[in-house]
Amino acid sequence: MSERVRLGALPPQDLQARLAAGRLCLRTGPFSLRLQSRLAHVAEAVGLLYAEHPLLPEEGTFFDFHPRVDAQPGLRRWLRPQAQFELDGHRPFSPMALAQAAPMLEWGLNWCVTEHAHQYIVVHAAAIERGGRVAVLPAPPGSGKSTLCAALVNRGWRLLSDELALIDPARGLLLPLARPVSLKNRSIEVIRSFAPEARFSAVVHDTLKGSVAHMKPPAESVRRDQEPARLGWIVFPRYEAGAPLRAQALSRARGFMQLLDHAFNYHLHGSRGFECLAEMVAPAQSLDFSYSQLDEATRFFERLAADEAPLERAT
Amino acid sequence: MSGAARWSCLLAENSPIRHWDGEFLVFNPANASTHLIGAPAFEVLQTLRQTPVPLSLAELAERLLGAEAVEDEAFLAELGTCLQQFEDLGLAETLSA
Repeated sequence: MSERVRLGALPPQDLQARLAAGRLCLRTGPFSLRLQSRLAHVAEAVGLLYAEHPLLPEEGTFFDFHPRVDAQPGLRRWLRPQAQFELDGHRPFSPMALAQAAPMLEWGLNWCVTEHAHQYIVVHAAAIERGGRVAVLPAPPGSGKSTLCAALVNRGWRLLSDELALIDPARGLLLPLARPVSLKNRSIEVIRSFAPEARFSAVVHDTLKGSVAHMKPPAESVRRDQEPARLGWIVFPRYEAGAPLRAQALSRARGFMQLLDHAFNYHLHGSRGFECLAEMVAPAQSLDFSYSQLDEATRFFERLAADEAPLERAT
Repeated sequence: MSGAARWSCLLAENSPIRHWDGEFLVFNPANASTHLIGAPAFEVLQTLRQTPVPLSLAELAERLLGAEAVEDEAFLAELGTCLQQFEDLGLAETLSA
């Protein structure tokens, strides 16, 4: 294998030129991307957030996705400039304000995976690894999933993904997709205080999700983004302001069913998908988890990784 | 529900099933759906599944709990509800005589 060249090794002008020409080629997890944008603030965000990701050669590489984010052409660009996400000529989203182009690229990449990567079982969940076992954190938006994930990957857990857990049904393993961690509103400052060493893209305000910023994935997680791992825990997190930490064991069958509630494409995998997930869930621990204090939550996860976490029994 | 109605299981013989801690997970390949079923309800489904011909409510009750169950109105009502739920989930079908 040729020596790995990080995107961060590119001089900013070179990065911007490649991106503008649609020749910025990089790998993230199992996917190879060929990105395109003429927007300087998108280049800046990509340069920061993907600095640790390996570049891929333009020639001889099959690219899974060729996403592009650029300004909308026409008169509108003078009145109210907007950005548009595009994949192979297809525009799945309505245009957004030009300032939102960088997060739009991230949301577009999520869309690429959920809509096209059906060789995997894709679950709307964060996934983090410690000691060879993965904790999958499936949760609806607003439950504190990404905040908890960001905190844990700044306390020694390896980031597999903050948004899309990828399951390889052939091997029954979780695959890393160590991309930027999406944080919203108050969570941005919470994680800045919790992990001052973490790096963030510029905060973008007034998006559909409020104010958003992306946290750069830890270098070690990106370096190991070809290492799959087995399922250890399914944790259903819920942030509850002021509430004491609570962890309640779930039966395996209930954990399995709740996991399915967050799977995008399980139904496409038929019996094989069922058998695969059942094999993965059988030795894993499932739990409902509510928290309000990140320090307390990260300590709990330390104990979970050591098989010493106190759990209320399943009802 | 008609007294003449007969029930049969729609679950294929090779449908994958998992049994953990008194709960059953059933995958129905016909519609790619997965169901969590408690032990008593699974026994109903399994009895239907293992019977080559459709069963009436009374015949099913007898196979599950013996002859006296046929006279147990409360049990029959509960069994009828269970079968209706299986039908709603696509796990069983009712055939009118």
